[in-house]
Amino acid sequence: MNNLNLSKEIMAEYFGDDEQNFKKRSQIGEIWRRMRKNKTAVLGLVIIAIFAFLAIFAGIICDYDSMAIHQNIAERLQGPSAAHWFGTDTYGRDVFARVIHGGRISLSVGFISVSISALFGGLLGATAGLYGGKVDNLIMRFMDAVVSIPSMLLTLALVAALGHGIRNLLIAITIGQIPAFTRIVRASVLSVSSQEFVESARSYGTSTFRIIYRHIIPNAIGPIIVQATMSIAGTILQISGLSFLGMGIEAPAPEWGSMLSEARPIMRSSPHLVMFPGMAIVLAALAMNLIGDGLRDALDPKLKD
Amino acid sequence: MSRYVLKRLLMMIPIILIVSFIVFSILSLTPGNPGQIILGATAEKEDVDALNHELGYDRPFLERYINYISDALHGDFGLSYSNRRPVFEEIFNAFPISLKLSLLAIITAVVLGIPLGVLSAVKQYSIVDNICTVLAMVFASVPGFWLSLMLILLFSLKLEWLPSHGMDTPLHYILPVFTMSVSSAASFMRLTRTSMLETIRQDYVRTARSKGVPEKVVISRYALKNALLPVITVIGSYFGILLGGTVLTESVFALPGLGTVILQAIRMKNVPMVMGATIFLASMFSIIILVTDIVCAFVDPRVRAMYSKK
Repeated sequence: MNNLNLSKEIMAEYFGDDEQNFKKRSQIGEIWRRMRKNKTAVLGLVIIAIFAFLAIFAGIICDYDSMAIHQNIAERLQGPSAAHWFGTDTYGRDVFARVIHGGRISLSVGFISVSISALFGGLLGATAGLYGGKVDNLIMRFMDAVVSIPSMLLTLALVAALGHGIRNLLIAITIGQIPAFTRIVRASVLSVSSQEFVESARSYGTSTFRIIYRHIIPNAIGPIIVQATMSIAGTILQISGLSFLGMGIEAPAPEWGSMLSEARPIMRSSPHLVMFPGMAIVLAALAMNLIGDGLRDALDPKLKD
Repeated sequence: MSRYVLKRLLMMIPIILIVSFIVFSILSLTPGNPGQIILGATAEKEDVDALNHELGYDRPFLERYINYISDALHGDFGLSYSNRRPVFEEIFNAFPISLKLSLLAIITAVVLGIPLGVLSAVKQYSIVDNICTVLAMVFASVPGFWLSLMLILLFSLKLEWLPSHGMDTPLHYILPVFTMSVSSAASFMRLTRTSMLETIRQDYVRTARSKGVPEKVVISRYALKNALLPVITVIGSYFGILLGGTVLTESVFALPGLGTVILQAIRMKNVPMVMGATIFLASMFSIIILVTDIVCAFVDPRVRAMYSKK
C-alpha cells in the first residue's frame, strides 16, 4: 500500500495532480471522444440516426399497406404537398411512405449482410492467417477468384440462381463482401502474431484460443469496423442498383432502386419521383462513408493527440 | 523480371479455374433447363429432352463441368442459347463498347482526380480544399445510375444539349463516361491528397525547400513523383472494376456493350454466355492487375531494384 502511494506521488509530480491520469481511459470511450470532435463524422451519425429512427418506426409513421402499397389512382402523380410530403407516384402511392419503408429494406439488408460477411470473412481470414501454408494458400486463392469476378456479375448470377426476394438478395450480397474481410483479418493476424507480445504469450503456454481472443481480435477489430461501415455504404448502392435492373426486390415492395426504375419513363413530367428516392440513397451511403472516415481517423493510433 | 511475370501468369490458371467452377456451380442452381430455354415453354417434352441430351445436360454436375472445361481448353466455349452463335463471337462484338467506355472513364477520372488532389493537398484547409474534399465524399456515395438519370433529366430533357441514349457521335459519350468516372475520380482525388500531404512533410522535400528550390518545382518534380506511386497502384484495379461494372451505365444509356449482353444472358439463363463472359472478364481483370504490378515495379526504383537483384 505504501509503495503504491509513493509511486502515485512520483507520478503526480510528473503528470500533475490530476487523478484522471492514473485511470486508464477505456478504449471505446477514447474512440468516442475523438469521433465527437470530427464534425463530418457526427453529421454522418446524425443522418444515420434519423434514417434508423424512420426505418424502425416506419410502420407507425406511415402505415405500410394503406400508404406504401395500396394503389389510389385518384391521387396519382401529385407533386410534393402538405398531405404528401414527397408527392405521389404513378399508382397514387405516397412517395414519403415508400421512401421510409424502403429505408427499412436497404438499411437492414446492408447491416445484416455486412455483419454476416464480416463474421465469415473474419473466420476465414483468421484461419488463413493462423494456420498458414496450404490452408492459407487454398483460402486466399479462392478469395482471389471471387474478387476477380466482377461483383455486379456475381450478385446478378446469384440472384438469378436463387430467385428474387430479400433473403436471396441478402445471401447474394453477403457472398460478394466476404473476400474484403478475409483479407483484412488475415493481414491483421499476420502482423499481430509476429509481434513480441504474442510470442511471449505463447512462450508461457497461452492457448491459441486465448491468443485469438485476447490479442488478435482487439488488434484486428479497428480495420474490420472501418471496412464494415464503408461496406454498408457500398451495399446500399448495390441493392438499389440490382433493384434498378429488376434483379433485386420484387415490384410492389418499396425499394429505392426499383422506385427509380419505375419512375424513369415519366421522370420528365414528374422529376420528384426520381429526386427523392435517389436523395435517400445518396444520404444513407454518404452518412455511412462519413462515419467510416471518422472511425478510421479515430482508430488510427498515429493520429492520437 | 520475366520469371516474375511468368510466375504470375501461371498463378492465373488456378484462379480462372476456380472462377469457372464457382460460376458454373451458381448457374447450375438456376431453375430451368437449356432445352426448355432454347425451344420455349410450348415445346414438346420429347424435343426438350432430346436437346438436353444433345447438350449433355442430363449428365451429372461434375461431368458437365469437366466437359465444359475440356471444351473450353480447346477454344470451344459453346453456343449462345439465344441465337446459337459462338459465345466468344458475341463477346467480341460487344466488348469494344464496354472497353471504350471504361478506358475513357478511367482517363477522365485520372485527369479530374489527380490534379484536384494535388491542389487540395498543396492548399490544405483552404476553401478549394474543403470544396474538393466534400465533393469527393458526396460523389463517392452517389449511385452512378441515379446520377445518369439526373444528368439526362438536366442535359437531355430540359436543356436538350446532349443525347440521352445510343452512341453515334462523340457527344453521346459525354454523359455515360462522366457518370462512370465520377466515383473513381473521387477516390483518386482523396488518395492523391492523402499521399501528397504525407510526401510534402518528408525531410527531402524540406531540404529542397530550404535550399531555395522554387515551390512549383518542389511540388512538381520532387513531391509529385513519390506521391503518385500509391495512386498508380490503384488505377489498374479501378479500371478492372469499371470494366466489369458497366452493366448499370449501359442499361441507363441503352448501349449494346458487354454489360447489356451479360444482363440479358443472366435473365434468359443463357448459361454458356454467362460462363464465357465471366471467364473473359475475370481473365481481363487478372491481366490488368498483373500489368499494374509490372508498371508499379517499373516506376518505383525501390521495387525495381528489389527485382533486378533476384
